[in-house]
Amino acid sequence: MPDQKQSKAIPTDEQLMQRIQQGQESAFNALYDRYSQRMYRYFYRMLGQSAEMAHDFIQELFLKIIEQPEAFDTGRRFSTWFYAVAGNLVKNEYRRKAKQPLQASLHDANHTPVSMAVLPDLDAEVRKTYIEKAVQSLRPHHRECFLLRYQEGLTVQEISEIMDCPPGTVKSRLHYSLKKLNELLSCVLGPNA
Amino acid sequence: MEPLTNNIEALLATKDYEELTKAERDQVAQSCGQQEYEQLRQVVLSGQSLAEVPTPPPSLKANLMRAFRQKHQRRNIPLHTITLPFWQAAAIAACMVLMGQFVRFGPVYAQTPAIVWEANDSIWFKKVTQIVADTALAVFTADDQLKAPKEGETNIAATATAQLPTEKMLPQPVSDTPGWARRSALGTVENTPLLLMMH
Repeated sequence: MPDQKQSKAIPTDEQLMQRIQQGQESAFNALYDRYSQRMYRYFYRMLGQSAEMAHDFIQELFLKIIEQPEAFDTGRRFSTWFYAVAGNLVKNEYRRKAKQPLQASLHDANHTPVSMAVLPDLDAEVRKTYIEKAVQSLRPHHRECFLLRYQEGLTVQEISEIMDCPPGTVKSRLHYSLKKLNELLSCVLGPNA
Repeated sequence: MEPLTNNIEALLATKDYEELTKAERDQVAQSCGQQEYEQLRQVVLSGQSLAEVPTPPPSLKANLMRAFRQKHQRRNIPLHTITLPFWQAAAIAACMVLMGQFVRFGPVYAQTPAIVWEANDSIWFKKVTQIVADTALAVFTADDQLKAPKEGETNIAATATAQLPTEKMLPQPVSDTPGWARRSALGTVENTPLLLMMH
């Protein structure tokens, strides 16, 4: 019963979007609070860890809701639609730059596995930085799959809708991502690390 | 490395190897083995424990909220938020009624009334007193303009008007004089039932 009451009290994303379509400012405020942090994180990691670009892109993303709230079909799941719009913005940026950002640096540097002796006493911050760079070195599609699945906690089905590809493709990309990261991070994540 | 099955991928996302049931461990053994599972699990955990990113600046939210207001301001007129004191609402309603009256009846006063003989009317009836100006106009100017009624009609008004002592009447009031003023002017005719014309 308390759960039912709570679910009645807290509107769903789709209900918030309905209210936004009616022009309710409070609904937009609530939706922003709900999604700004995670979408900022998504842009930050998909755009080469640039806070400035993440700022610009999250602004553009929410402006799309402001300008054309009717673009969202309230019969759909909002989070899926929202990530899909965000993903399209990122793809457009990749096309604009006509290059795959930050793909080669770590990959090249770690093509020969780092000796365990080199990283005997990695502290937590350094490890996180290293992992971050390893994730950045993934191809954009693989990185997007990995982040959506293991950081944002979306299901394979949701990711397939966001990326507009079959679930099998998502699983394949996830598998490749895990394999690649396992290679890159073996020295950091191993039992002696 | 063999491709991960659905189950293994889901297990990797949620459970350490030690947390797996016997059946799940059997699945892992058939798919990739304990060592590889643990390695991949470490990778998954590393993805979940990525460093926190900076938060979006508060100014961003302020800008977006402003943009939202500007966009939707024109579309929504919050009528339910408009409140007026009763006297203001009443004054507005009264003004609207008066405006309506002016628009409807105003032009009628500005027009020259059509003249119709109404011999039975009397100045003492309210309806008639309101148009006494028109009547007076006809009475004072009727001497030379009256025409004979058509055949078979009896123009009582013409007869009565012809009998009026017009030489005793005051001059014609100006056309925009109120009805009560005209009636007062005509009142100098003593003991004479004044016949009126209506339009």
